[in-house]
Parts: sequence; C-alpha cells; structure tokens
Amino acid sequence: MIQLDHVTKLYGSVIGVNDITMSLERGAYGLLGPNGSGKTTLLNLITGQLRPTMGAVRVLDRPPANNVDLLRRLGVCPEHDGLYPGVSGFDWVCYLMRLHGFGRREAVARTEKAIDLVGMKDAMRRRMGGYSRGMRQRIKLAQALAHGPELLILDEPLNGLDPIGRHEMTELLKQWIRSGRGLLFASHILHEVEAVTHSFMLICGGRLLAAGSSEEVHNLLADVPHEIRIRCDNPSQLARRLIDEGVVESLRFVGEGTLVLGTHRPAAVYGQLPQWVQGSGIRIHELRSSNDSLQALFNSLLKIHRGES
Amino acid sequence: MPIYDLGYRGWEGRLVPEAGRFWAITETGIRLAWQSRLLRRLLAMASFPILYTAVLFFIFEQASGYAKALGGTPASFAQSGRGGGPIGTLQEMLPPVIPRSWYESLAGLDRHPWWSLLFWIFFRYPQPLALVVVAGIIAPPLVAQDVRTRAFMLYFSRPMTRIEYILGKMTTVWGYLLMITAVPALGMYAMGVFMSPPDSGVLKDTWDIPLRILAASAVLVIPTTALALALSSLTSESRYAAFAWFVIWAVGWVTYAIYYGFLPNSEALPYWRLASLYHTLGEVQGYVIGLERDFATISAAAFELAVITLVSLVILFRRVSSPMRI
Amino acid sequence: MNALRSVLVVLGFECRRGLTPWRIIALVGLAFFPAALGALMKSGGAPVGDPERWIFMFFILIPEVVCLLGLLLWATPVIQAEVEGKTWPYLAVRPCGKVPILLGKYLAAVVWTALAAWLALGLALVAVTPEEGAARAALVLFAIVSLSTVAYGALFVCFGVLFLRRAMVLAVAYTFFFEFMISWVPAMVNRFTVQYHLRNLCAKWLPRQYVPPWMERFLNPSPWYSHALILLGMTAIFLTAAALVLRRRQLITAPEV
Repeated sequence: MIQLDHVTKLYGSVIGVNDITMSLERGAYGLLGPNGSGKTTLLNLITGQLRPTMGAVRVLDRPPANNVDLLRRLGVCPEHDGLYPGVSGFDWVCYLMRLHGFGRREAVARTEKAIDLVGMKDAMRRRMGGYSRGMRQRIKLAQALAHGPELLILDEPLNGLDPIGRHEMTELLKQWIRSGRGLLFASHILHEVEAVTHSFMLICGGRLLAAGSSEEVHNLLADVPHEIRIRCDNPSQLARRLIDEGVVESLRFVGEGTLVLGTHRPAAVYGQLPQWVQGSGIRIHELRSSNDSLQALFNSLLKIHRGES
Repeated sequence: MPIYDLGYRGWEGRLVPEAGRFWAITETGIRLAWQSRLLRRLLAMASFPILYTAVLFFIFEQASGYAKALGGTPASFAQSGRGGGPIGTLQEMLPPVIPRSWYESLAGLDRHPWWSLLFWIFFRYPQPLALVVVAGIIAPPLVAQDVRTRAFMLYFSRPMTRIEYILGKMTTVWGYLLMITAVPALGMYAMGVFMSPPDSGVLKDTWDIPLRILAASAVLVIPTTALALALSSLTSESRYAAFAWFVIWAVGWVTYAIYYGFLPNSEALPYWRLASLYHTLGEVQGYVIGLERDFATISAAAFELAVITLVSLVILFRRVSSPMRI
Repeated sequence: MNALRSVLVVLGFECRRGLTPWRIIALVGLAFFPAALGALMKSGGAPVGDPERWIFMFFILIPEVVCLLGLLLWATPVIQAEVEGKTWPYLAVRPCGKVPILLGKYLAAVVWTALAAWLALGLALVAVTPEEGAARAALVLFAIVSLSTVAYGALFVCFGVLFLRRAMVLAVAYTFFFEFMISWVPAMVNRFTVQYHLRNLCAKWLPRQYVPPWMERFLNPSPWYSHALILLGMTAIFLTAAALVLRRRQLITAPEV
C-alpha cells in the first residue's frame, strides 16, 4: 500500500524526516508522534505534496507527485482548518467533488451522502465561517470520504471534537476499516489511535522509532525501566527505603514531594510498597505509572535508540 | 540532602524604563522584516540614485570653481535656460520640472540653493518610489497580522500601552525608510563636504542643510508611515492593505498628471495637485529644503499632510483599541 | 475535456465566491473612477470631448489604471491567498491537477477585471462623450481593454506563482519600471512590454486624426494582427511558465508565525 525507501526530507538545513524506510500492506495504521516530530511532513510526502530530498515514495504502487490516477484513489484530510468562510459546507464539498471529475448530479449525490455520514446534514447549507471546530472537522472528513477513496489519509482528525464527536468519528473510522479500505491516521494522542487500530508507527525527531502492534511495542519495552511517580510527604526518606530494597534503577525528584522511580521490578514495588512505608510513617498521597503515556513510551524508545538501555 | 528550589522566581534585575518599552516591538519588527531577501536587495538598489546625485554635486562644485576662476558668472535659468560649459551640462542633467519661482535663487553660483536643489531632486525623484515599494513590503503585514491572529490581547496583557504599541510599529517602518532617505542624504552631504575645494567655506554656506535633510525626511516618512499602518490596521489580510497603499499613490498621481496634461496653466492646478500624495510631499519638501520661501504656496499641502497624519493615527488607535472595547 | 471542465468548475466557483459586498464595492469604485475624473475635468473646462484628448485620457485610465489595479488585486494573489488561507492542500490533492485550478483562477481574475473595465468604459462614454467618433473609440477601447486584461492577467498570475508572498509589490515595481518607463525608450527593449503592443493596436485601429502624438512616436509598420498575436503569445508564455512552476513547487501551509 505504502512504501518508503530511505526517505529523507530537508527544509534547508532542518530535517523534516530522516531516513525512513517502511512498507505498509493494506490495512489501518496509526502514525504517532509528538508535535513537530515529522508526522505532517511524512503525510505530505505520501500524498505527493512534498518531494523527498533523498529516497523514494510509492503509494498504491505509484509515485505520488502530480499523479492524477493516484489522487483519485486517495482521500486526504489535512490538519489545518482551511475552509472558505463565505461558502457553505455543501457547496465546498460539492466543488471538490466536481474537481474530481464527477458531473454535477453525481457530485451533489456524493456530497449529500458524505455529509450525512459525518452527521452534518443540518448545517450543510450554512457558511463555514460560522461552524464550530467540531463541525469543521466533520466537513473536512466529508470531503475526504465523498469520492470513495481506497486509502484515507487523515492528519489529527479528532482535534477539536467533543467526546461524543470523538466516539462517532472513531466508530466511523472503524467502519471504514471493516469495509476493507486502507487508513493512515496521524495523531499525538495514543488512546485515540489505539481506539481505531492496533497497528501503529512511532515517529519522533523525523525518525521512525518503532512500528508494530501495541503489544509488540510494549513487549519491546519489557526490559526498559518502568517509571512510577509517587507523591508523598517525605520523598527523601522513601527514596532511601527504595534504594535499600534494591528496586531502584533510577530516581529523581520532581517538584514538591514527588519522586519518580525507574525500576525493572514494578510488580515488586506495587506489591510491597505498603509494607515498606508502614513502619516508617511515610504517607503516600498518589501513585501513578508514567508508562501508559505516549511521552513515556517515546522517552523509553529514545533511550533504546541512544543505547542508554 | 540539599534539594534546590527550582520553582518560579520573580525577576530582581533591572527592568527597561517604561519609555523604552516600545523598542521591543521595533527591534523585533526590524529583525523580522530584515529576513526578507527581497527587502535587502531593494534597500541596496535604493542607494544607486546616490551616485547620480553625487555626480551632480561634483559637476556643480567643479563648474562653480571654473566660473570663479575666469572671473565671470554663468548664464542663469531665468535668462537663457541653458548655460554653457559645466553649468549647461548640469542644467541638462536636471529634471525639467522645477518651479519657476526657484529660478532666481539658482541664477548665481551660490552653493546653498544649488545644494538644496540637488537634495530636493534626491528626495523628489528616486527616493519616493523606493519609499512606496519598501513601505509596501514592510507596513501592510505589521498590524494586519496582529489583527488576524488576535495578538492585541497578547500585547496588552503585558504592561504596554496602545501608544507604545503604535510607536513601536511606526519606528519599525521609520527605521527602514530613514535608511533610504535621511541616511543616504546625510552621507551625500558628508561626501559633498569632503569633495569640495578646500577653504571654500562649504560648512559655513551649508551648515543648515543636514537639519533640513532631517526635516525633509520627517516630512516624507511620518505621514506615509501613519497612512500605511492605518491601512494595515483596517484589514486582517495584508495584501488588501498593500493594494490600498499602491492605489492611493497610483490613482492620485494619475489624476494630477492627466489634469496637468490637459490644463497645465489652470488656476485650479494647485488644488488638483492635492489629489496626488507624491506631489503634495514634493511641495512641502521644497519649503523645508529652503527652495520655496513662501509658506502660503505650500500651506494647503502642509495642511493635507497634517490631516492625513492625524486621521491615520486616530484610525490606527481606534483599531488597536477595538478588541478591548465592550 | 476533463481538464477544461475543471477549469470551468473553478471559474464558476471563484466567480460565485467572489460575489461579496467588498468585491462589488471595489469593482464599482474602479469603474466609477475614470468617469468621475472625466466629468470633473469637463466641468472645470478641460477639452475632454476632443477625440484625441478623449483617447489620451481614457486609454491611460481604463486599460492601464483600472485593468492594472483590478489585476493587482485579483490576479497576483491567486495562489498566495489559498496558501495563506490554508485551503491549498484541499485543492492540490484533487486529481484534476494544479494547472486547471490555476487557469480557472486566472480566468476568474480576468472576468472580474474586465467587468470593471467594461463598466468603466460605459460610464466614461456617458460622462464624457467624444465630440465625434464615439462608437469607433468605444469599440477600440473595448478591444484594448479585453486584450489588456488577458495579457496583464497572465503576467500578474505568473508573478503570483513565482514570488508568492511578494507578488503584488514586485508586480507594482515591474509595471512602473518596464511597462511605464522602458516602454517609452525608443529601442528594441520596449517591444517586450505589453504596453508597446497595446499602444500600437490602439493607434492602428483608430482614425489617424484621433491618435495622440505620444502614441504615434511608437508606431511601427507591422500589421495590427501581429501585435494582437504577440500579446496572445505573451499570454500563453506567462501562463505556461506559471503552470510549469506551480507543478514543481512544493507548497505547504506553515503554522501562523
């Protein structure tokens, strides 16, 4: 479906994407990365809006730049809200369908169907300048879906949606995947991606750090110290106790009364911490594992890549 | 164990005085505008007319020395319109549109009126075009972008007043415009002084010219900057502000030029001249430079410039204040 | 045929989208300016009705001032407006390609400007009717205006694609230096300006007694259709250059600075 062969994109001396090689079979993938990691650059390379400085990109077995046939089969929903304020959602989507080569009647029919699918039927005749953030996201998705593409490429599609909107959009994307069509969607929020697909790629600093299912990635992290954040009234004393118990891989103090413990034995810590603090009079106010957050995942992966663990 | 306090700490160092706070806006504006390669190239090109004017200076100084050595005086404009030798060459090189009321003062070889004329030519012909283009690049996005991104709240949630904001934006534009007006003109003055024959009393004759140069630059720069920024504040799209800026100059100039083409001797000509910002500025600069002696002749033009400045500043102030009006 | 249809779709959409109060005001303002100036001058005693003077005045005001200002406003930002408004990515991923979009927007700019210019011509004729030869003068200027919008439109669109952010300023500088200064230089170089060919066409289409002296200075013996063909050729060259550059350009929308 998508092949990148040692693709690098430079903006002058700034690296957008750095030597990425990947081959994605037909399916659904999440592209995860923090802001500024190169997700949008990668998507622009895949849709042909950018040409790689080095390497080659192939999408549905063709190079994407200025490729008319390929663009017919792609549905793209960029991150930015570029909507004409004085034009209605219906007119805009219909215009874009006409640019796909559909006749007027067919463009109207497809537009109505797509707008209905995203739940914007009531507001479709209103000017987009008056749309809320969530309405704009929906109408953007409508223009990506209306021509029935084979591969949908979405950049932060759930941005600005309320919880109900997110749920509806997630269900829509799951339905899309079940129909057998391809999906590549970029986000910086892990659980958004995990709700839609279990295959994802992690990108950071323009480099592809890892790819696979969430289980595979978490297994990869099995040898990486697990971080536990503990807020208590005497972090120094607790730190001494944890060192004595031999569960400490790394230790740091954050803010007032908070200790971040890195350990290879999280089960031991969770199981025995109450006993360890009982006799010493330390009061634990909060205990949290940092590892479920995307940032922790990336921090761990970056450490692996740097050879620090 | 020593644990260091890394929390927020208030600044205990020196703060910039209130009067200097606008400078933060100016400095940033100048730095951002300087990133434009086109602007840097235009600024370099805008210095080429200095060469032309420098040649005129040189010819004048040489001609005046030649005539005095022969014990004679050159033919004046009022008499023959063309002198012989170097003065004739100089006259041929001058643009033809010089008001007749100035001819008498140019009849002799007095340095002051001739130097004033040459500076007036510099301010009148090459530099206004450079000013229109440079201001058309820098000024339109200065306030328009803040309107579009709703940045006023960011500015005014700091201890900064609207006047400081406006002053900061204006000095950004002034910085670049003075680089193509006052700075090269003062440089030419210095060059003129250094290239004059020794013991010729050049400083005694021309001591006031640098001050007039600064005043002429102020006449050129202040109303145009106010106008450009007012246009910028009226829209969130800088290209509309740029368009309005160019329209004002082009339409005004064409209006006067066509009227002049039809009725060059009309009594109404001075009033039609007010339609053209270019010609209005030229009139007032003639007075400031010292060529035009009669203020009544330029009073309408001066009044127009004052009105443009005032109205533009009022518009700018109101637009900048609008996010905070309930 | 798909490409042509796409061009027409873009043209239709842009014309409908452009029907805003501000654009109508700008169009009417541009259209009224020559007539208002003519009427004012006529009331002040200027001999504007003399055919030669009428041509002198309205050749400058309509095919030059009105057309150039209109195209500066509507043609130079064709691509910049889409990139700045972040609407370009939605257009660039359509299978019709970028070139039909460019051509459709060019035609929309030409249509709006030509409407303003034709309206200006009509109003000018009402405000100041030439003492004789009004029909001929009107027809000639109508044709000149049409060619002016087409040729200058292509030129300004080319600027808009090549320079994107600074297109308007560069178009103004180019117009002043080349079209208004270089076109007066009696040398080979002035034949590369649109102005030169428009002047020749005007002079060749009018009866001799109506041709202003400054236009006669630049007359050359080539037949009128050679100038028209050259103008159309220049239009094709500018549009082709713009299309080629646009296909190669990588335009991405940056976050607000």
